[in-house]
Amino acid sequence: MRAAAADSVMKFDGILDETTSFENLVSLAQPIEANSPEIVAADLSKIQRANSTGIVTWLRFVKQCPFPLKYVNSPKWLVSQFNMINGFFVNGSYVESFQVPFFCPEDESYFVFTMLVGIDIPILDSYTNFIVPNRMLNEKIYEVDIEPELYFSFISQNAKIFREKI
Amino acid sequence: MKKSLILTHFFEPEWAIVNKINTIAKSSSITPIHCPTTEILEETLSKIQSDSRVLFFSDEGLISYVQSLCKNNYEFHFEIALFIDTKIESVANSVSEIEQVKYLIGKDQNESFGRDLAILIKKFKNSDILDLEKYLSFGADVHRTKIYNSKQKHDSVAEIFDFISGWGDPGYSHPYDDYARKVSEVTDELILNAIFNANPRLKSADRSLEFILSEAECVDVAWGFDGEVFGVSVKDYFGKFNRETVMQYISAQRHFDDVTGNSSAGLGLKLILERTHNLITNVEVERTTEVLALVRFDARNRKFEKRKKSVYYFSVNTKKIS
Repeated sequence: MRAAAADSVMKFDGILDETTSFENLVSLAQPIEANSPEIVAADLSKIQRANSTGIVTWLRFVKQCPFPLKYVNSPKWLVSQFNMINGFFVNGSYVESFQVPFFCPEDESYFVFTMLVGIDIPILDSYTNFIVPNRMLNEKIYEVDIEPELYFSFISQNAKIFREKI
Repeated sequence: MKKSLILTHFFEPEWAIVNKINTIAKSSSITPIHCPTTEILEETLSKIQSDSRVLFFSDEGLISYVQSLCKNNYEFHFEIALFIDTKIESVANSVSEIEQVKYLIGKDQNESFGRDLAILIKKFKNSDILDLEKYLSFGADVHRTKIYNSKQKHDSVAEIFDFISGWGDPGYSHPYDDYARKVSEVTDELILNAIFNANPRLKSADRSLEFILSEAECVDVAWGFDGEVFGVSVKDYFGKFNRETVMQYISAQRHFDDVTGNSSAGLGLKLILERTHNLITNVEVERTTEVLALVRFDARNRKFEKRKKSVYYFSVNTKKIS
């Protein structure tokens, strides 16, 4: 995994796996910490994939991170982790935006839209019967291609945290 | 060969399933017996000879009954398959201590439902359990590779990613990149498990360091696509993966503190199940563990995620068929 930090943004790309170094993540955070930021954006959208060892390393970093993180452009694999691990949002972290897959039945094409928590997707205690509006792109209608109750459960399960932050 | 029998008894019988089991059993020269009541089931079980092998199909509505039935300590070999309708995680939790329950079958009568049942029954009958090819239709090329070091692990996962993502036309919005990611994540986890969890020498190794495996420790990877199902299998030569671990890891809730407290607290197996429709573990005790993941590629992600999941745990003692 490669990483770059500037001002209040940390960007990552590559693969989050056993080769990801906890020490490298900590050293990346140090120059940002010097500016005493209130919050730092973590953009993992260019991470191609992750395995459990890489995720554990990431979580250990978040636990010890000297500043809170807000996840931006969170890709689908990361949303899956948000939903799988209870208590993912420690140390003041939360999600600002995340990717949602859509599908166009007309030509079976697939597109990922980035949505803002609290704006595109309201913060609710339950997403049962919640309907995500269709989206238009290049004159084609795209329908949401996830089960809202499952995919947005990280929001409903952390609604209190997210309401305080957003 | 020991006599094999198939029994069925359901809380809510679905005749399509009962009939399917009956026809597959008969075509495999196994006697199927449907027991409409618990009294008939128990009477039937009481008459089975001690050297027989029994595969009992039931459903999740009877978990408590199955648990009490298993306390009878029958002398014959007894395995149980449960059809399930609810989340596999909660059922796995309920059955984790019932050692005879080895198969949890999602009640999703999809395109391969009959084929999956036929494979289960044939593997039960013959105790020939290994190999991905059993799950892919004739015509599928199965690619095979061996892993001895870190680079080969990385390359084999990357090869699978490139193989699948290459199916989509460049510049066209297609789901194959997402499937490539899912399958390569599954493959990565299976390999990690075979290298670090199965191998006693590397169990507490620092995973960030490069590893080198001896011939006895090497890991076999196989993968293929038959036009409907993508399958990947990873094999180690320790043969120690047990049923309880599979059921417990599948059922456990993951909490931040558990995950960060040790190597991953079974996060890997959970991650595999999340991206897989069928998870199959084949164990030749003390010899080989092979874990297979089967994935159906649907055009719609929503359909992919709605499909019911199944978990199978096959084990044989190669010295004495168990």
